[in-house]
Amino acid sequence: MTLNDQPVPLSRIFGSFARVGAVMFGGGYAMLPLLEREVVERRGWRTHAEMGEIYALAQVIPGVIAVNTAILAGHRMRGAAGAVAAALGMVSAPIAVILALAAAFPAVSGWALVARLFAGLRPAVAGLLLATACRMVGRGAGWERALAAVACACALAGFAGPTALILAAAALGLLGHLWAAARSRRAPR
Amino acid sequence: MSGLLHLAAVFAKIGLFTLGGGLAMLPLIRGEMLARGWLSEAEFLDILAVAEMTPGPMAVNTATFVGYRLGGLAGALAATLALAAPSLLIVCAFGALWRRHRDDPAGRRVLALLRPTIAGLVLAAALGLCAACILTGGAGGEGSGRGDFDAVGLVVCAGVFAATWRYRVNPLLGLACGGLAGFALRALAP
Repeated sequence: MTLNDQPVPLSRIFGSFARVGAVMFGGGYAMLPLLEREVVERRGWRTHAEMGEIYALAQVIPGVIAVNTAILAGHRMRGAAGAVAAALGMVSAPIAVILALAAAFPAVSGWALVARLFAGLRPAVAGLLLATACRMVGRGAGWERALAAVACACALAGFAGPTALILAAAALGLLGHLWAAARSRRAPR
Repeated sequence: MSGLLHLAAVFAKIGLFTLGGGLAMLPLIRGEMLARGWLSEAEFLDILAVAEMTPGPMAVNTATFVGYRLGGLAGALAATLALAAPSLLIVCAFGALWRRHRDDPAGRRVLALLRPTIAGLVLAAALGLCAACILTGGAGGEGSGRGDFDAVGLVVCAGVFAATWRYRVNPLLGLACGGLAGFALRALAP
């Protein structure tokens, strides 16, 4: 289901994730800017807040994060079939590129030339991702920005991995909920 | 056929036991590939370099390459799809459960903390990626050791950041222009 409750065609889901997968350099979070643009801004299939949820979940289930993100988003739109369509879309371009390279250069060492062509893209991807990250952080309220800064500092200092930080935040939220529930039980209005 | 099944089983195992993606997957893949003699250490490093330069996550690229080498087109597809199979099953099995509870007060409180946390993590990843492009002589630049300042990297990185952040340029356009500029500048000033 989309936001306006019209089922999204599976071919559309496949096509959109194939577009994102085709320009995903650097793996991991590098696909976020394009994914946000395609799924939220261009298609209006999901909201920014919902995508934030999906990124968090994609980290804590096993597997490749980019593929997990596609699976989760696809599942929200069309259930199991949507998840399969999104996953297939996400990996279609990488498969095609690697197969083409493998066929063109039997020895991997011949790939250095191609690699140099792609090298120019790396800093562009980094700059784009930074802009997206700033926008994600800037969207929040004051305390949310502070929490984001703490998480960012922990990750940069190598203090904790992403999975550990996400699980810690989830545990904190759950504890806060239990505490609030206990307090309201003790002092009923 | 049993070869394809074996291939799929190994990559499904890699997909199942990787938490956190990216770097967490690296040692697992390396161990499996070396232990089975499917890749040599040098080939693994080459794949790693190529995977960073081409679209797609490293694990997907490795699965496709190894699958192709061992079983042709069918092998490439089997290995890559097997890699995604565990998380696909998990999401389909637990997706309904999550949807039911995300609107509970408990789910809302958890989400309230998760969103800023993930934004901070993305920021950290972005800063790390920028630093890597600016300080290590750019990706793939041969003979440039760690700690080399890369002016081209800085210019492209800052340019694309400014264009998409301040002026809301289309990300794809920003990527294409930045990438071409980076390639041209590196070719002009070695």
